[in-house]
Amino acid sequence: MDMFLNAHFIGSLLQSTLRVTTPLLLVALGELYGERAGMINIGLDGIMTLGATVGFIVGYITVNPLLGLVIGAVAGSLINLIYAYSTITLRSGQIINGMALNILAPALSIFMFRQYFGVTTKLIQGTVIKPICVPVLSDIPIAGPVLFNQNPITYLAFVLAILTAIFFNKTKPGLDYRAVGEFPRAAETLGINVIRKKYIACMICGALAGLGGAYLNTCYIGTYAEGVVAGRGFIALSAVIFGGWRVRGLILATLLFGFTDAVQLRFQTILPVIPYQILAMLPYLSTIAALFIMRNSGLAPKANGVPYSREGH
Amino acid sequence: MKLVTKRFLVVMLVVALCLAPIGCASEEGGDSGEDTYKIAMIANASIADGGWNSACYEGMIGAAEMNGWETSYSENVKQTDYVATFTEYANLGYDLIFAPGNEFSDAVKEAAASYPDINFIVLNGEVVEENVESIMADNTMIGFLAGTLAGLKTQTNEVALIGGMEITPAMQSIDGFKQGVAYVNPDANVSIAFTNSWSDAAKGKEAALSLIDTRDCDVFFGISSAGDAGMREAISDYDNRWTIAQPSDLLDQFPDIILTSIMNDNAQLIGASMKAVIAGEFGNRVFQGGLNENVLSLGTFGESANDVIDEYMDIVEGIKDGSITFDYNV
Repeated sequence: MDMFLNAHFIGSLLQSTLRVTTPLLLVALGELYGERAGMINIGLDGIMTLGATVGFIVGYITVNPLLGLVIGAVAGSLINLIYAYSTITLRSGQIINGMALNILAPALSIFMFRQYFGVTTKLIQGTVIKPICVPVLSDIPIAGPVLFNQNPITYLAFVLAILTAIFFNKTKPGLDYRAVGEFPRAAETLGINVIRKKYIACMICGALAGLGGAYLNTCYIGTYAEGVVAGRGFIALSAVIFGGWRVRGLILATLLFGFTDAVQLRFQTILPVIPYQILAMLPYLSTIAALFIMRNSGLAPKANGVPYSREGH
Repeated sequence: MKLVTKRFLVVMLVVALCLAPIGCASEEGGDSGEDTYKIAMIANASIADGGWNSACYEGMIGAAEMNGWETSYSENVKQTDYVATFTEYANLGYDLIFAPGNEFSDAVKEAAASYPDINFIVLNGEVVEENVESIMADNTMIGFLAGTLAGLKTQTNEVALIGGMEITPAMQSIDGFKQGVAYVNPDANVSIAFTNSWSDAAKGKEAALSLIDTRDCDVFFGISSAGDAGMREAISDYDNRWTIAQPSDLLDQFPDIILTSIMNDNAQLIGASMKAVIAGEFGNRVFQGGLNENVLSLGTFGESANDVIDEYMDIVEGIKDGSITFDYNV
């Protein structure tokens, strides 16, 4: 056991944790922007799939993964406008519209991918954005690989999280934004354009979910396989609830998931006597356990999921 | 307004879900003359997953081209729709229905009993009836072929296998892999990690990196479909790490790290059943194909395999002529 508890092992474990956490954090932040304006979107997984596909195709054609990331985010934002129009303007149910996105977006992705590449048996190889490795500093034990040898998008995700926390808690536009999710009628009487805020919320949510998806195929790995998102959208969704609709909670929730996932893969080789199915449950079990311990009821935006109408109900 | 929209959406969703298995079916192949034989494949995931289902689909297309058959497929079929989809094709008069996996066994049994004139093949299955054949590549041999090469090549005496899920063909490959490693290199240790998914390529990358961190593994064999691609990317960032690919020749994608590919020609397996259908001899048979049946073969060798290729080819010849044997424990 001692051979594993050294600086190299811990450093690489934490590095792996951040890699796994990055897409979850981006998408969870997107959902936070949505739910803070009262828009529950369970279609994150579908939007991620579209972002991943569009990001990969654009990155592959232009040999520019950064452009792939950007276009992936734009695609996510655009498809989420369907959800926005249907739930905000037509005031239909948010859950069913999210479901619809989860069916539509992956199908659209498969269609686009096969139109371009055809049905292939070999996975297509694209280019990826490599991690930034700061010379000298990245050689520091533990802290080096964790802090100074990461993908640029990982840094972006955490910077974005901090900016989001400042926005929601320290700025007037942020408080106005939150008012839309808490009590939209009162917000409206104060001159806040609730409908416009909700549309903006949906566009941010779609963009971040698309970005999180595109990260998978432009930064994490260079191949695209259908189903690459593998339920990460739902994990991000639960991280928002688990994190109590607070940025700090979100970071902790996604880090916990990333950490336990990185740990379980290592336990599979260190402790082969434990059936891998039990280890694979670890991230989910720890999330459930944490939900039990942290009671987050009452923290949700009050008007979350409620369709808003200017005139009456 | 609100209620109408909601109802409309619900109705549309239900219609879409009902049509999904049918909508996915697509006819391929040229003329639909009356005397052309027809084969249909049913997949519970995408046929373009770059792994298992792709290989099965390619196999069906290859066999159909060789034997002049027409093909059709349904993908992303849910477990609850297996029987309905089989029935659909049986009603359409397909001569052969191809179920690519043991998980279809129960549904095949049910559909085959209702349609005694329609023939079914189950890949990796165990079902055998008047109108059902089970066909499979020799998974233990695949594992043994990979294990011997890994055991010969390893410098750290730590080799790794990355699996998707613990299903029977995977367990057979793992069993063969362990025997293969032990046959050439009793000192080498085998580590196994599962990604618990067939589509999560990123998980394959993490699994490979964790095997490098914890055990310093240097030769990897992947049987996790999309996860294998992530594994190859992970180890290509390191020096002196290699992999054995499957189920098709992938050397040109990663020429520096791939030692060779173990190719699994499903077309030979499916073609054998097609010939039996035409000859009227179909049914009551389990067909297991290895090197000698041309179902398994080796792909192009990478330059990194140069130091072990002679020794390895002796072993391959030994397996072919029966002088080297292994056990079927799973």
